[in-house]
Amino acid sequence: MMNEGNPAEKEQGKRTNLEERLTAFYGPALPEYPLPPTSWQALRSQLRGRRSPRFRFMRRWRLRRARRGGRLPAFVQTAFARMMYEVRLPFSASMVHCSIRPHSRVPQVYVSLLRRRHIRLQLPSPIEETIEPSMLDVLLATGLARFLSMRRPAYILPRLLLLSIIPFACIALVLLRFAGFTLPILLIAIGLCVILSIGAIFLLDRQRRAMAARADNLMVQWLGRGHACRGLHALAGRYRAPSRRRLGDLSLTERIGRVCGTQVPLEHERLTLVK
Amino acid sequence: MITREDDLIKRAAYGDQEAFRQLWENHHAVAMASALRLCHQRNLAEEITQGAFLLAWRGLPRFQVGSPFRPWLMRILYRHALDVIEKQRSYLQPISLDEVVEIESQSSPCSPIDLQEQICRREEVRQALAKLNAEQRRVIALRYGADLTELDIASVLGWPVGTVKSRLNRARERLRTLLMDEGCKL
Repeated sequence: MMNEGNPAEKEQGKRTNLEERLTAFYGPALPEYPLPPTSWQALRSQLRGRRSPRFRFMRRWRLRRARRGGRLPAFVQTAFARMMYEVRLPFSASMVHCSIRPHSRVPQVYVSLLRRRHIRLQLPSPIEETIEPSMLDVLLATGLARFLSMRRPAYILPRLLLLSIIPFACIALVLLRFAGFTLPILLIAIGLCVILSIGAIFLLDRQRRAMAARADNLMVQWLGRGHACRGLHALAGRYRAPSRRRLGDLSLTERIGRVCGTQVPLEHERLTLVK
Repeated sequence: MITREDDLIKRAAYGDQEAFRQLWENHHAVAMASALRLCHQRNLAEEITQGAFLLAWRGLPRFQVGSPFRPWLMRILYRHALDVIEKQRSYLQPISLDEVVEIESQSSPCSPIDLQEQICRREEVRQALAKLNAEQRRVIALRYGADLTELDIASVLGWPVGTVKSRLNRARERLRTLLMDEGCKL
């Protein structure tokens, strides 16, 4: 029998009481509580979201491939094929390399004559939701027009000449050094080489900008001014600073000024893709 | 040696729903009983059981085949049950007589007068538990609602054993004070 005067026993009694009450609150452990078959059906309807590890591996692999630039997305392929048809050029999807940049919101197009796929399209993800048709047409037309403009000898030969100035200047400097010229002459030669290189870079920039302007003229002829203007404005909405320009390229503001203004000759305008 | 359950787990980890159904058949009744003991509400317990199996389905590719499945599943269930109970604040809802009758009939049937008395005493404890903080409620639930040791509670909640002990002691102290003040308010 519990001694009511002893505090330790009193404490022990309280503890036992609490334990008992908590145990009674939660009740005894139930052996099993089967659920009706509908419960499994409800769970099963939620299982569909999970895929096998193989499927997840393949999906990751496909996404990586898409980021690197594997197959052309169907809607890009369709837009490009339609454009090539309008321009009366043989369609080849292998010309375009499309890659996805998940953390970017600005789609870009780059053109290179040296790469196997000349037009490189970089799209933000998810693609279909973020790319408007007019924007995609402008990007593809820009890429194609620049590729056609860059392929001409009138563009390639002066460019090669200008590009060769820089290595020639460096070689000349090394030869002068080994020929035993004095330091002042060498310094003058270095100065001349720097001026020549800056001049060459300036001319290369001008030449490429002129080419970009010619390509925009072509783009307006293919797409029509309204469609091109819509696409350029949609693109400008994505840029933080549309007036900023890269070396050898027109800024988006300049392009909008040229295309949506009156600087592109109107007599060539043909509303081909705008229905 | 690969058991039949290991085989089911492997297949389920590769997305085989039929294998997962077998695992469900083998373990859902025990999981449901445990969930029901923690929350005292049939619908909520069913929701918790389904949620725990869904979490297990997602976690199966990371499950180490060969280790026992049920303790792993029960860890998921307890963690999920405590989250759901705290999120839905189910401890604030008075204990329903119908629910108690249904649950008690599964274990030990008793007379209506005893049942009324039991509910009255449970209601006092529920009201006291509702006044604890979430962490104290969690340790109490796992200690008395799942019969886990302090070591097991530490592994389920991811806390150090010392923390579990101190929170359990503080929760008991607070409950003792609260239950001394409270009477039956049915």
